[in-house]
Amino acid sequence: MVIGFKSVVLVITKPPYGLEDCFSGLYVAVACLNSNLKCSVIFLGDGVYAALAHQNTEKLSVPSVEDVIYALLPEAKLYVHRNSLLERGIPESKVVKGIELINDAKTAELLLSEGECIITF
Amino acid sequence: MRKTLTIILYRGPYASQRVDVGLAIAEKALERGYGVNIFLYMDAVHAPKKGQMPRYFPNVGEKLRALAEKGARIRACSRCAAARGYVEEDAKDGVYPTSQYVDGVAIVNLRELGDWIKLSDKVIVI
Repeated sequence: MVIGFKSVVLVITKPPYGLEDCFSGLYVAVACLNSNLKCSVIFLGDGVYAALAHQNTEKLSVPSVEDVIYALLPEAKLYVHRNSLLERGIPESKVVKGIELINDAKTAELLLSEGECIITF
Repeated sequence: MRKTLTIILYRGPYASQRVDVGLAIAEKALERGYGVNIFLYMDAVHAPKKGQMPRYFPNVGEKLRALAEKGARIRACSRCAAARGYVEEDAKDGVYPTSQYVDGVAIVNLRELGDWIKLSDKVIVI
């Protein structure tokens, strides 16, 4: 009998546009939820740009990563690394409602407690 | 009890060594008795293309075919494969037919990866 995982942490480190990584990483989170895995997503480094509200991708002609975020909430727990925001001069008020801001200690705690399986994009 | 390793590859072949490293891990894991799943995501869906003729590097498509023969389950993401021209027809029994891949590699919905992760003992993203 295979025991397997009950929870997954997705760590998104790439910006939302110009690279496929962030979008596709979030789709892995959707797949994990569909398979009844407990799923957390941490936006870290340049990944924090994906957590900003009011993304307008009309001129880019690509799907909005923000829409995928709304598809994940509230079943998945979403977190944004506060120091990564600060380092980039992004006000906390710009983050999508429902995404929790976390410090370094909470990030480490999450990875240790929820990160049976950690997938980084 | 046999353990299961799932390897997610998401970079294309040849441009970096990531796919080669992932497939080397898969080979060793099979030798050690693991069940091995390889999920090809994003540009890694190019890896099983038939007819690769790399002049200076090992043939990634052939490596995938050989791993499938040894028992690795190898699947490619349908969204990624469709975007890159590998999906040729609608899915039949959950598998999207293609004539462009080496034997042993199938194109499926990303949902299958969620199930694989759930039933794995280890997951590596390379």
